[in-house]
Amino acid sequence: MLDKIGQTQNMRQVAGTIPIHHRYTLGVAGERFFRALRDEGRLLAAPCARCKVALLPPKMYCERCFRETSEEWVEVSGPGRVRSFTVLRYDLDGQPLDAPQIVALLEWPGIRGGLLHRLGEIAPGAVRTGMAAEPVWARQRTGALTDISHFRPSSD
Amino acid sequence: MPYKNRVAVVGAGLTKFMRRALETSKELAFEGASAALEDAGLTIDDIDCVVSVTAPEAFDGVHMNGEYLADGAGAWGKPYMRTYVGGGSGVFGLVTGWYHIASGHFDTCLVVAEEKMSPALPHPQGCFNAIYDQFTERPLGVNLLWIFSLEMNRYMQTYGVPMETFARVAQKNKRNGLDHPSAQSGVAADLDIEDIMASEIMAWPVQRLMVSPVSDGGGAMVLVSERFARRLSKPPVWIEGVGWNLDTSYWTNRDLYYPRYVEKAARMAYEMAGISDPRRDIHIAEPYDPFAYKELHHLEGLMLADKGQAPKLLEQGFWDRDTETGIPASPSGGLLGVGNPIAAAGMMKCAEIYWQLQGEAGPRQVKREVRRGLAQAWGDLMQVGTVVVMGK
Ligand SMILES: [Zn+2]
Repeated sequence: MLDKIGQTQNMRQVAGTIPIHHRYTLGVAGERFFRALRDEGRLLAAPCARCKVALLPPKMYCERCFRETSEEWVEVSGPGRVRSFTVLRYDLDGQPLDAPQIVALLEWPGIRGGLLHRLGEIAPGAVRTGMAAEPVWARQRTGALTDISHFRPSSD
Repeated sequence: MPYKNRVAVVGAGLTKFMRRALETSKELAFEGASAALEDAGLTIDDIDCVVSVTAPEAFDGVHMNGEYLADGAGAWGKPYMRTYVGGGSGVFGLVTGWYHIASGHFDTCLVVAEEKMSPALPHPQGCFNAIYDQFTERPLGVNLLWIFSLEMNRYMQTYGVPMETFARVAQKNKRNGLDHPSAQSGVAADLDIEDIMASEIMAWPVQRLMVSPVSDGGGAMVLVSERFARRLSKPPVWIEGVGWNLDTSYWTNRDLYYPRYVEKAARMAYEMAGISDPRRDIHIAEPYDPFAYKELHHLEGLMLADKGQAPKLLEQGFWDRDTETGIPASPSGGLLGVGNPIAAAGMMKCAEIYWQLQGEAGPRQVKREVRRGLAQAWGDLMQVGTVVVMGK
């Protein structure tokens, strides 16, 4: 048996792919969230009346109490805070990046959730958990998360 | 009874079925789940555990789709599992929910089905090429239509069934679907046999109007133990039998003219339900009908007709919704008449039996008295049969 398994030189290989690509809908909540991002440059959150928090990114329903969120969305105001961060040295394909990239998990008071985004205009060594950060908007907005170019440190 | 709990169905809900939903997969799951909870008069706080079903992940384009769906299915902070047998998943979800409660471990289970096929481009059929063997089948560019055509052809040839008969199945189900509030736009229709016969041939002998559409949709049902059911005001519908079975995964090794795996699944469910004569004891059926021929094929596998006899019974109106003496088949409209968001379509069939037994099917309510019915689905590598028998 081991001899059989070892005969790799005789192995014929055929390359293959699954010939499919996808077109995703943003969803009921996503449509509204990204529209406001693009058209108004505003970050909106969906309040859950029962849990007394607002969800960011907004959801159509609250997963905790499993009820629909309020239609009366609220603006996420003020800077977020860095709950955690990482500094990337390699890209998705394992190639070294020209310059390290900082990715931060941002949170806001009264918000369940938050945003994962790039953090810029700061040296990697200077990033601290708990520091305040604000969005920097992209010049061209398309209704995507990249409508925020990155977050940068801000005063409280 | 060798099980700890007798299991009841106390609520069902569906979204509308659509060609392309704005809702994400999670949102479809949430809407279906919420509708079922509301129908049961319960909230998520009453639910002990959650089961989700969705068919190939390549549709949604989200790997580990069960985990992705979890919060939309109401699984936050609860025991949760996704179960999967391809197209058979909708009915198998109910089977899985059944044993969660039958085990004695839980009193309530929310079973949620979701399918979002529309993200897959250029056509969701493309995903199906990848279910086949890399070397013996995929190089041919196989999709499901091919395989169904081979099976349909074999069934037609074996019994000499004319194309008009299959057109009549499509006509019946598409008409029934006109009364279903979830029916996908343009799918339910009142069509002439000639129109169906004249529809485009997709892979001979399969024609466009004899095939169910690509759909997005969600649905759910609430299962509870007997002691929990006794506390609710609405009388329960009982899950009396469950069955599932696999045939060989090789097309080449299967009796294409007869679904043995459906017969075996049905026998398992009938035995559990104490049914010795299904044609006497089953009063209504929702056989899986993604293609017109499959309804007849499956009715024979379910032993509700002798082999080769389902087409003749169709001509006699035996499967019609308003039959007085026959067994109404696909009174919901089925996949041909309501739509086919795969796992959710199986759930829709289960929900129909539940509503029919409750007398809550509205304009779809069958004429004859019904005390026991079954829902059946089929799929995986087209070799799985799943059956649930419900009664009141
Ligand atoms: Zn909540």
